[in-house]
Amino acid sequence: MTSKASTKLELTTDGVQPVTRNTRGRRFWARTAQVLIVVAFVGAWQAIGTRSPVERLTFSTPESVLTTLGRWTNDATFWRDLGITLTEAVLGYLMGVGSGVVLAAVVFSSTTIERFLRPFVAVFNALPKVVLAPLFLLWFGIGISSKVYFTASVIFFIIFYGVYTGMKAIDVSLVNNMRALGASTVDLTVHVYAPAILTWIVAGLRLSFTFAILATVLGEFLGGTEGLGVRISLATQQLQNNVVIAGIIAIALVAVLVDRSLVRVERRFTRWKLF
Amino acid sequence: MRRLSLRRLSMPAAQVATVVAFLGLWQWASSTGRIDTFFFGKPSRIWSELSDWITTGTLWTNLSHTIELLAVGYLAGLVIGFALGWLMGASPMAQAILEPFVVFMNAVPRIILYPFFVVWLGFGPLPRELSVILVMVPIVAINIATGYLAVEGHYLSNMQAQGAGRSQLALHVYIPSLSLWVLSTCRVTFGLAFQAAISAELITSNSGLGYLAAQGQSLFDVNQVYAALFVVTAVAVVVDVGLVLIERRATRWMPRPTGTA
Repeated sequence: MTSKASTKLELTTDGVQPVTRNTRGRRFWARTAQVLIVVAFVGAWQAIGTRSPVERLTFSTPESVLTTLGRWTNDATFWRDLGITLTEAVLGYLMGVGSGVVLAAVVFSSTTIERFLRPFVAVFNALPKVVLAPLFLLWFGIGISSKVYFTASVIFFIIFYGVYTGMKAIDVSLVNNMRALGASTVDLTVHVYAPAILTWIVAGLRLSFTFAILATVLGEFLGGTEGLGVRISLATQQLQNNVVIAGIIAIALVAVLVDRSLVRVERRFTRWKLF
Repeated sequence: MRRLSLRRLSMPAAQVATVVAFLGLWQWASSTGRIDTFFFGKPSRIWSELSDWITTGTLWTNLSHTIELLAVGYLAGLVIGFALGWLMGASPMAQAILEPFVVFMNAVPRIILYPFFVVWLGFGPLPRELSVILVMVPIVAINIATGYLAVEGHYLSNMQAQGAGRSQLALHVYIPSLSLWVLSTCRVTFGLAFQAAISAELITSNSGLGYLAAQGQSLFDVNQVYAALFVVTAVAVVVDVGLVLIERRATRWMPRPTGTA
């Protein structure tokens, strides 16, 4: 027994590898290169943006984008816009997940319904759902509800299709064994179907939530009165590119923050599936 | 035999009948004023809109613009993503440097960058193409980098033992096996590219199928929106059927790609 079992291990794409001086050195140089890339990018942007008034208008500068973002942190209307965009995304997401799961369960409960709907499901799966946005704006106006319903419809298709294929992938012998042991439909739902659906929703959470944010912002681009997408769309018309870029960065930051926190949720829920 | 074929036909018949009944009911309800045509449109009006587009050439102009945008964006996105993924797969240093950027980009809904591209590059096709490319690149790069590392080691060792050089390995091992990755993920990546193309056309553009839909929205002409929707659906289905055939010929054993628009 070695008293100092201190060889550090790390999980890499090549499997579990010991941390050697080599990998440590690589990590140091990679970090340095990343910082250099970011600094060079921001520096070049600042240099281009300050070269002439036209270029300032087109590219803006990191400085003025940062100033805009800084001003927004003290701006109640910005937080209101952010809140509205997130509310639309979350409400749409929840509605989409709810209706998707319910409908997938209904369809799955009957092979006749399933066979009947199969071509329709295939068509909707191939369709780029964003094209439905104008329809929802015509139906529900430019208020919050059109974005919520549009987001819900996009999420609905993703979740419905996922749950539908997920339930089809459930091992038949598992269901048959439980049936033979006297399980009722309720038992099967609680012990087989519900966990399977939940696993799928969690696994698809990141992908589908990014789509929810995208759908909401797209809906706001096309018509709205409040929200981050509206803020960006107005600034585009007024050629205020610092506001456009600041708005895009704000949405990107929110999307990445949500994504990072969902990675944790995903890890917590799918840990048992990996090993 | 006879009964069997009848039973087999009954499902498609029911499906067609449902569509016909739905359209008929829709037409009847809209012409008798039972539903508001401002919101729900009218099948006969949608049809006349479509035939108008065909006779005036509107359909072909816009359809060809969308297809051109998709072709340019998809191919350029594939090539750039392939190169980036290859670089990340082949060099651990490149992987260590680039990975955070690619993962970050993949988490951002990249279509929202489009308004900036418009201000930057004007109203031509370039900002739209850039939008599609940007949606494609991180997903393709991540898939290719994963695929590069998943290439069977014994192929490489065998080839090297028989004296294959780097270029021979690339030509005979890496390119074929990575092409398989591209093929097996083509439905998903094409779906995302299509999504990006239509989104860009919806937001601001002066041509394309997304533009037709957005124009219908701003003119409060729901029939035009439906007509555009119909054409987009038709394109999506035709391409999807083609890609399913391609994908089926590629492999079935590979994991699904993950990615966002």
